[in-house]
Amino acid sequence: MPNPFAEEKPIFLQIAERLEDAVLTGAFPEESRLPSTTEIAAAYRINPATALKGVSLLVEEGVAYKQRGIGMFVSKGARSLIEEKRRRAFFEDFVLPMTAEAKKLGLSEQETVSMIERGYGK
Amino acid sequence: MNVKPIFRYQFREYYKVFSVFYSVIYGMIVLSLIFKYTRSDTDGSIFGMEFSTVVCCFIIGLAMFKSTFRFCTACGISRRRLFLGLTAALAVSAAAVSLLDIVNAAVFSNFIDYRTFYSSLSSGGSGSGRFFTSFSLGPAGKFSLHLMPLSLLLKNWLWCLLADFCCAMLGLLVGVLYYRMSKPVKILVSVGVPAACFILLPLLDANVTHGKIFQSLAAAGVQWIQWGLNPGLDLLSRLAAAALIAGGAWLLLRKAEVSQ
Amino acid sequence: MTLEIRNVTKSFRGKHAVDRVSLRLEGPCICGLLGRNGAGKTTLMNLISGKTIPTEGEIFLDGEPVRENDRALEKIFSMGEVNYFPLGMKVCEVFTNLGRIYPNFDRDYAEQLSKKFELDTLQKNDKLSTGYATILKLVAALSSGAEVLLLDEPVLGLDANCRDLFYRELMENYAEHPRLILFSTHLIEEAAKLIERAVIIRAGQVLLDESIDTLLGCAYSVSGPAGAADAYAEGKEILGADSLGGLKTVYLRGTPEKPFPAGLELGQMSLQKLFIELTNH
Repeated sequence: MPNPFAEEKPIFLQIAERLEDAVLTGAFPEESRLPSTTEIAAAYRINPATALKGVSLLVEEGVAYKQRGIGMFVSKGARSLIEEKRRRAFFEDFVLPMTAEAKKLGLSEQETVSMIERGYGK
Repeated sequence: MNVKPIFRYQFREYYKVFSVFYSVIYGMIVLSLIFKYTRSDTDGSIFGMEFSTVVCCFIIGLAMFKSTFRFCTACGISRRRLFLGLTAALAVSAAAVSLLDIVNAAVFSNFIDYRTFYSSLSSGGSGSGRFFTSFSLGPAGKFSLHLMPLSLLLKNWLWCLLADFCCAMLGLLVGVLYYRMSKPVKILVSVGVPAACFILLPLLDANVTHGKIFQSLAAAGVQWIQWGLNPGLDLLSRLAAAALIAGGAWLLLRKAEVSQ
Repeated sequence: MTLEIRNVTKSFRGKHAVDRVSLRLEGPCICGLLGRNGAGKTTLMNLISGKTIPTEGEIFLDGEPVRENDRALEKIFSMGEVNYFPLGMKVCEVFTNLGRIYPNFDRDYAEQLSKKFELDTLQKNDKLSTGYATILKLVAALSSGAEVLLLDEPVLGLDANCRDLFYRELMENYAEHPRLILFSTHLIEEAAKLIERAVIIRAGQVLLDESIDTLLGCAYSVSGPAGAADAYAEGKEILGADSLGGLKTVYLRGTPEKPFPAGLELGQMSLQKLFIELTNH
């Protein structure tokens, strides 16, 4: 039987997300240097090409930028950028799966909403 | 073609074998010296030491082949380069040990009866075979040394060198041959060849050919030894033999595979 | 660095251990060589490194034939289960000898790595335990400076800690010195994160030779009630199936059609699962 716990997202996306999380928590402050692809590859035991893909994704989104000869740096305003991106993706990433699951379980819209309210501590 | 790595590795191993070998030789020489100077009745005589050197060369050609082949081939050394490295290492070793034998003879024949096979040949089988006539303590305590001609020394060295090299290459050939053979064939050859030589052949000779085989073998042997006295012929015949043996070894080596 | 294997066959006593294999591997790349026991992975690696001679076909590195070619052979370093180092040779002596054979061998790096892995360089190589014997070969491989590394089951016999350390060192080494690495292993999931390309060998023949992204995108799983799953699988290329009571999972080749029917779960196939299903018959 398939492993129900198997990761489904491509590794480079997971890497990008972990790096973004690190920016959000302040582990990689804005304007600070990101670890090199070598360091990322070694730390996560992944292929450097995959690490590079993940970092390139961050560059594409403007979360990081490259300084020739020195390395990759966290952009100024990266935190708000990431938050904005995740807000936009919140619907696709969390709401849709939640409502699909709710429908699967036969929960009514009311029941789902009340659960959300519980989540907010009401 | 850089054969240095093979060279250096081989020498390291040969050195071990030759150290043991020469410690035995020098042990024997020391014993002889002790006998000579402590007992007046016995004179430790050493004859034909170079035969054991020849056997030793055969052994180094044979013994190390398998491990060297596996190591070198596994490390990306072509079989051609390996062969050249082995041949060169064996040649240089043969030159070194044969030289050492001659030096031993030259030095120790002053003290004890140390003769080489070649020297007894060249003196027609009757001479003392000594390179230096023994020194004698003259009345005034002086000693005198008479040197044999350098050409004789060199001829002897060449004789030994070629014998050693041929045998070393023969050892290599046997080594490669055994490596290439599968287990059943190995057993067949290990038992069959000695049996054929020492049992079948004499039987055959005694009953069928009436001694002709051994007669011709003996004649060939004598002929070869007589050739040895002529350096030109000696060089040619032994080089030809070595080339043939080397060729055989190469043909077997080029298709050798590293087994699991 | 391009390694080209052209129509290579190797037979032993009439059986083809490697059967008409043609591959073109462009470096730098980490390529996984996957196959079941006896599929021909070791033989193929031995053919590339020159330990074995092909019955047919030829192998080229950067356009030059590899056979009996010292210039090409010194660019290749291979390690496998069998230990070819001479008996009685100490680890430090092994490094010295390798340093003479491989022009770019990095002795300092070898010493550093030995410390990291706790490999005793004064120990004789044949007296090392299985794990440390493997570590010696790995250290040698990483320090060799060779353009092409052939690693045949490099983590065989290593505990999880050593494996983890090895993957870390391998990735760092590869990032700093990109080269062509051909890596065969049975621990597919561990390798899946490292490799860029996968070649699957079955019965001496190449079954698949794809980039890892293509491979993972070319198959999927469908789970649900047996009837619904079978109905969905109708007409598609089925790789295999698993059942647990009335719950059936079917493994299919291709990409799932959109929209995906309700009542069925779509899943991605892991590399290991894909490999198992492809090589099960």
